[in-house]
Amino acid sequence: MAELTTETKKQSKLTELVKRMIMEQPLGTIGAMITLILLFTGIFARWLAPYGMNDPHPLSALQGPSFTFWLGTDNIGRDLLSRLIYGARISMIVGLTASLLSVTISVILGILSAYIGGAFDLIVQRFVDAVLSIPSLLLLMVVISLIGTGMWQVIFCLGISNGIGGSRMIRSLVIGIKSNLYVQAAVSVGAPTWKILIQHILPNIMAPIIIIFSMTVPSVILAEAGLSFLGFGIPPPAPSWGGMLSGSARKYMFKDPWMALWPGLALAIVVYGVNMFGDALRDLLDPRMRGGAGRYGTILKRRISKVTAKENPTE
Amino acid sequence: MKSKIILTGLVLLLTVSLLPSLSGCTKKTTTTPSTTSVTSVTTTAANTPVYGGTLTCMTDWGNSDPAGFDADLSPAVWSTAVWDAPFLSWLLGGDIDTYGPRGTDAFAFQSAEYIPPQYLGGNDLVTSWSIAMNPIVITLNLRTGVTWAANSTIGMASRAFTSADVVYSLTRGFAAPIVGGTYSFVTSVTAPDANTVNINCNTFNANWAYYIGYGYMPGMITCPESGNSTVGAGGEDWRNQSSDGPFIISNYVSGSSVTYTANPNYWGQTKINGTSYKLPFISTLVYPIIPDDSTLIAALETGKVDWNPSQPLSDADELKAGNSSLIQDNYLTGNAEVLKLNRLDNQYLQNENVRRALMIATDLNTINNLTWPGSTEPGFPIAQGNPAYTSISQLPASTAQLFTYNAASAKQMLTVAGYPSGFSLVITIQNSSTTDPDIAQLLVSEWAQVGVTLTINAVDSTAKQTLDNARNFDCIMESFSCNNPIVPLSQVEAQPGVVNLDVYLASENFETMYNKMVLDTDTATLTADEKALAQAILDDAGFIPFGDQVGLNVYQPWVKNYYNETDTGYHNRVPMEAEIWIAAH
Repeated sequence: MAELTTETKKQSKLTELVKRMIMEQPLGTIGAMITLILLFTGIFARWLAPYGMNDPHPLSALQGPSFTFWLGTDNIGRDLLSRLIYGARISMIVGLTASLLSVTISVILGILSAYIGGAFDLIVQRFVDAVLSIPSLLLLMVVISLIGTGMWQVIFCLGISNGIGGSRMIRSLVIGIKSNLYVQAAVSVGAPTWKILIQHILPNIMAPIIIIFSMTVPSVILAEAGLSFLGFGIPPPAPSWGGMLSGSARKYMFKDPWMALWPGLALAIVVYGVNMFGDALRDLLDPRMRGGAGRYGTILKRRISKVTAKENPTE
Repeated sequence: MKSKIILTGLVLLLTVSLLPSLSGCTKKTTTTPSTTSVTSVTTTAANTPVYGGTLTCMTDWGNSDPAGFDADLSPAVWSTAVWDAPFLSWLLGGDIDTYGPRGTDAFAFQSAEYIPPQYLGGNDLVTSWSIAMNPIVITLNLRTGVTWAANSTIGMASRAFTSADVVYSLTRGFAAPIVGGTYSFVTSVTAPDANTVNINCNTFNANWAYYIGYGYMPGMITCPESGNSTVGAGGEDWRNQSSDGPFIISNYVSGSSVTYTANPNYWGQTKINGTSYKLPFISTLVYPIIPDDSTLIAALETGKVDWNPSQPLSDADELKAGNSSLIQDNYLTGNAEVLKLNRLDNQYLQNENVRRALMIATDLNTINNLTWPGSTEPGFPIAQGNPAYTSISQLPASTAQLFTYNAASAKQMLTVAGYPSGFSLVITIQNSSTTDPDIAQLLVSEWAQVGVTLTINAVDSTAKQTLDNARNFDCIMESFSCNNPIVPLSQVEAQPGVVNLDVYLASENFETMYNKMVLDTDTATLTADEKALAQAILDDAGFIPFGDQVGLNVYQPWVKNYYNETDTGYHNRVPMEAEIWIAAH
C-alpha cells in the first residue's frame, strides 16, 4: 500500500512537471518535442530512411528536392533525407553517451573534490584549471589526432573534456550542501562517507545534475559536428551532420546548396530544441539557477500581488 | 517568455527571407557547366603592346611568406623558386614563343614542373646543349649578353653573367641537404670557357634537363655575390639579391606582398606581328601574400589580383557570379588520383586477373563525371598532353578493355579466378580529402555487384602514409603528379615517406624496361620507351586510375598577350609575366 502511494506520488510529480512544462514553458515544450523527434528518428532510422545512408544513385547526383528524393541528393547521388535520418542516430548516440560520461565524471570529481577538500581539492581544482585553460577545440583535435578518429573516440574525448569542466559546478553545489545540518548529523552519528555521499548529498544535487546533462547534450552535438567538419570527428562515409557540412558540401555549396542547407538546418533545429528543453527544465526544476524567483515564482508573485490588490484596493 | 517568442519569430523570418535567395542560387548555378569545358581557350587578342603598368599575380605559394630568397640553400627551396623566379633566370625552360599557343601550338605549357625536351629553349640561360657518352658529359652552351644588375646593398656593380656563375650555383645547389641523393649521377661541374659549362656524370640520367635545367632548384642560377654576401641575412635577404631576369626585386612586406620592378638591362625580347619588342612590358610585378581562399576570391572579383593560374576549381561558379568579366580557363593539371592495389601482399590482389576484373568492375566514367567534371581520360602514369601519353582509343585492346565498365564480365573473371562468391577488401582513404570518401563509396557500391565487399578505412594523412610505407593495406587512394613521365616511373628507388610505386615496379619486366628507358639520350626513343612502360603498367592493373584533376586559370580582361599558359618549368610563370601587357581599364 505504501509502495503504491509512493508510485502514485512519483507519477503525480512527473505528471505535474509535464503539466507545468506545457503550461508555463511553451518553447520548452517545443524543444522537448524536437528532442523526442530526434530520439525517435535516431532509434527508428533504419525503418524511416527511404534509402540506405550510403547508397549512391550516380544518375541522380546533385538533384534538388523531388518526390523521389524529398530533400534532394548529394554529389554522388546519395539521398540527403536518408543521410539526415541516419545522422540523427549519430547525433543522438554521441549527444547522450558523451553527456552521460561527462556528467558521471563531473559528479565523481565534483563530489569527491568538495567533500574531501584540503590538499585533494586543491590538486583536483588546479588540474581542472589547467584543463579549462586550454582551448577546448584545440585540446580535442590534439587528443583525437593521437587516438584516431571514430565515434567512440569522439564520445570519449567530449565526455572527458566536458566532464572535467563541469565538475566545477557540482563542487560548488556540494560545498553548499555539506555544511547543512543533516549532513553534519549523519557524520556525527558515524555514517560512512560513501553512505553520506550517496544517500544525503547525491539526491540533493539531482536536479542540477539533470539540468547540466540537458545543457551538455546540445553542446556535445555541436562539438561533434565541429570536429567532423574539421575532419577530426566521425570519419566518412558515416553521415554525421557536421561531416555532411564539410568535404563535398563545401565544394558544391554554390551549385547545390541543399547539400549544406539540410544538415545545417537539422543541426540548428536540434541544438535549438534541446537547448530550449534544457532551459525549461532548469526553470522548472531549479528556479534559483536562472536568477530571481524563476518563472514559476514570478507568476506566483504576480498572482499574489493581484489577489492582494483585490483584497486591499486602497494599497 | 516574450523575448523567446520574438527571437523565434526573428529566426523564422530570417529563414523565410533566405529561401528565395537559395532557390535563385540553385537556378543560377545549375545552368553553368563551367567545369565541363576543358581547355576552352579564351585568349586575349595581341593588339598593340603597351609598356608600363602593374601586374598582380598569385603564386602557388602565395598563401604564406617566403621562407627566404637564397635559391640554392633556402630551407624551403621549392617555394623559394617561385619568389626568386622574376629576378633569377633558369638554365632551361619552355619555349612558349615557338611551341606554345602563341607559336606552333604544339604544347600548351600547362603542365606543372615538366616540359618535354623537344619544347625547351627560348627565354633561358642555355641556348643549346650536347651529350657525350664516353665519358658522360652534358655540355651546356650559355647565352651571351646577359648581365647581373648592380646592387648597392652588397656593393656590387653590374657585370656580365659567365659560366663561373653557373659552376658556383650548380655546385652549391647539388650539395644542398634538401636535394638528398638526387645528384649522385653528377661527378663534377666545370667551365672550359666563359660561355660553356660541362656537367660530368658517372651515369646518364634521361631526366637530366628536369633535375639540372628547370625542375629542381639548382637550375635557377644564383649570383655568387648575393649567395656569398654577409650583409644582414646574407643570401636569404631579398635586399642582397642581384638580378639577371626580367625583373629586379624591389620590396618585400611580410604578410603582404613581394614587389619587383622591370630590369632595364634584361636581354629578353619577343616578336609580335613581325616587330621585336624588349621585355618586360609591365613596369611592376606584384606577388601578393593572401592566406585564405575567400580573400583571394574577393581580390579577383574586385580586380585587386590580375591573374591566378591555380585557383581551386570549386570557386569557378562563385567567381562567375561575382564578376562575369573575369576570364576563366580550365586545364588538366596532370595530377592523377589512383587506387593502388597491393599486388604483392594481398592474397586476392596477387592474381593479375583479379586486379583486371576489379578494374573492369569500376565504372570509371561515372566516378570521373561525378568527381572531376570535365576530366575525360585518366592521365596515369603519364599525363595527357605529354608526347608519351597514349589515349585509351590507341591502347592495345587487352589494355583498353580495362577502361570499359562491365560488371557481368568482371564477375565472370572473378569466378574463373576461383572467387565466385567474391571476397572482402579494405580501402584506405584520407579522411580530410574532398574526393576520396566519395570515390570509395562509389567503389563500395560497384564492387558489391561482383561480390567484393569493400570496407572503408578513413584515416588522417600521417596514418595513411604510415600504412602505405609499411604496405599495410589492401588498396589505398593516392594522388600522383604525372606530368614528368620519368618521375612516377622511377619511384622504384623512392625513399620511405615518399609516395612510391614499388608495389607494381617490383617486377623483373618493369625493372628491365625502366633501366633501358633512363639511359635513353634520344628524345624519340625516350618517348617510345616511356609509352611502352606506361602501357605495361596499365595492363598489369596494379593501379586503377581515375581522371586527371582539372585546374582553374583566372585572369582579368585587361591582361593582354596571354594565351592560357600556366608553366614553363617548375611553377614558373615569369616568361608569361614578362610578355603580358596591361590594357587600359
